[in-house]
Amino acid sequence: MHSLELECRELEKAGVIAAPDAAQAAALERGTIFSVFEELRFALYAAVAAITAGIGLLVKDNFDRIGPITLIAVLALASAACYAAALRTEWQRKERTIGGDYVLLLGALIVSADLGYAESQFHWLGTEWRWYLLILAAFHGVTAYGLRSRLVLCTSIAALAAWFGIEGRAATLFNVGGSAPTLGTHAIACAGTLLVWRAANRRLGGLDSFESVFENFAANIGFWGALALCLTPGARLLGLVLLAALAAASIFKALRGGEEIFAVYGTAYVALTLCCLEAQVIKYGLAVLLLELATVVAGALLLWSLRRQAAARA
Amino acid sequence: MAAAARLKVRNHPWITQRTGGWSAPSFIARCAFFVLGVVACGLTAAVFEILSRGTALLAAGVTLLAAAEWLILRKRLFHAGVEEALWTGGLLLLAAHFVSSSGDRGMSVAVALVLAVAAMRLLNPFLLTLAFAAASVAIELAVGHRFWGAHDVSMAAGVFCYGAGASALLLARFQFLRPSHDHMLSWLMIIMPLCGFLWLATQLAPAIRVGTGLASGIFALVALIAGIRRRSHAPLLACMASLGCVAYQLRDLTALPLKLKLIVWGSAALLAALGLDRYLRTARRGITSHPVGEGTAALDLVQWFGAGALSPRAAPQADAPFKGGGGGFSGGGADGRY
Repeated sequence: MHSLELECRELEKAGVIAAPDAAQAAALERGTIFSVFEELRFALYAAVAAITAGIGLLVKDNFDRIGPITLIAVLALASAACYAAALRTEWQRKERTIGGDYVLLLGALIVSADLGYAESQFHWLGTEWRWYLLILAAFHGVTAYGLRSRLVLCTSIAALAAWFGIEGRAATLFNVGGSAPTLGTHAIACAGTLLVWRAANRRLGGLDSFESVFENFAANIGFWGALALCLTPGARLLGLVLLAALAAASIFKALRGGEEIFAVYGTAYVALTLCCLEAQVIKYGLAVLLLELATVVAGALLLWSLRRQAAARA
Repeated sequence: MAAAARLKVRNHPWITQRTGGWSAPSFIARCAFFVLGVVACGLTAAVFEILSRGTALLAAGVTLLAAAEWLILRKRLFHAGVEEALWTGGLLLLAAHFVSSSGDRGMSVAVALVLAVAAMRLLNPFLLTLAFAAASVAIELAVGHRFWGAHDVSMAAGVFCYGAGASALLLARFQFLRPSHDHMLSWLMIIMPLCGFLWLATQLAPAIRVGTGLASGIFALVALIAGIRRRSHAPLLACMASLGCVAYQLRDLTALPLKLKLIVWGSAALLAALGLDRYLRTARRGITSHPVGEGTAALDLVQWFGAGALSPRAAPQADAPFKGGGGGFSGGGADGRY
């Protein structure tokens, strides 16, 4: 096994890192400190995914032997137990561990399953049943703020995106005659809503740690929306304008805040979208291939330059 | 460079002065560059296909290799993604030009060799793992079906994969000069036992199911012990992956329906993880469940998008009339229909 302990000491001597950081890094290299945080995170995610999948299948099969009321009540009790654990930690003014975070996420996902199942059984919202997704987004949003959970915020954003009709399947983007135009405008609207939410979070003294969640979701959903519009014959110009605006905003953010990921969004999405667009618009084989190649090379060069500048700012 | 990257000081002027002009981007940027490089490879091959049909693969391969070497030697890119994609793509095109007529077996051997050469040149663990996976395909095509009589059993390929994983686990205890060699062994010990399991997992014969379950179980146990003793993450991840294989082979242990199995097994895994989290809140022999040092942005992003992916999917966009008992809701893993 390779150890970087000597290099850590050298960095400390050169004044590149502070003595406590060097001591911690050396301890990690020696193995006197060893964190299994990431392994736990992986195991917890896999466990929550398995339980959620099982509950998804359970409500899908309707489970006639149990009956809807019992099933809804059991799911509500299970989610209440998960929320109770998080509330207990909150009242004790303790910091929630990674395990507590995932139990809370499980509670939120069970609520989602329960509410969806209840709506499908009792039709409280009638033909406007899709509004339950917005109710769900609001509920998860409130609990995310109340319990300061970024994972629950992610479920809230996902429910909001679902309410906007964003399916998260790449195939729908290339379904030009079908849902791609609607998907594009809905995705842009969703990204805009997330940016407004982020602005409100900042203005009203919300949590700083939520900002990066809003920004990453908004950037990805927005770029997918612009890509969908660019691939729709009647909406290409609008798509290109939005793509340029999103790219400019991402690159500006990358350069100002030193966040490399936004330089990646601002160049890679644009290069790949332009390649798809060029393939659609230009019919002559060699010309389109050369143009696409030039686009990809330009994208890579721009990303190289931007990531250097962003890294220098970080 | 590895120490600077780990401590997030790779852009410090002191580091820049001592790296001899070599530069390596972060993991996220490397992935983006790799994707762009792969697209560039495909487009270059298509351009040469139009320009010179007979020697398109040869010309494209040489061009891509020359471009990759120029980026490495002149621009001093190391683990930047783009040069890795161009180098591998170029060599694969050359291999396709020279061995395209030698059938599936010859092609799979050529692909394995090309990926291994690329992995050694670029010190890339992902490519080396792909090379071993391609080698298992070559073994399967060569001898795989002869080992188990009339049955269609990929025994040789499976044994090769398990052997590669076990060898990597064993070799990782030695000290290597480069961190890249450690990473290569880490990838092999995590992925190859999974490949071995996948070669044999489709077999319903009890002996094979017991054998793969036992092999995965033993590997998981050895990897767990190695991971704890060496204070290394890769064996622990290999252990978790192999435990997943064991759980899959134990799927018929009870007659419960799939949904209940998922809930029961998931709950058991959740309780085990919560128990471990609680137990290690106070460090035991230096092992802790608290995050130490700065986390990686890439893993945080994966976690957020993963949490989003478990949430309900889209509602239908059209104002379709409501159908009794129907809907578009689904929890994670369901297909979106009642």
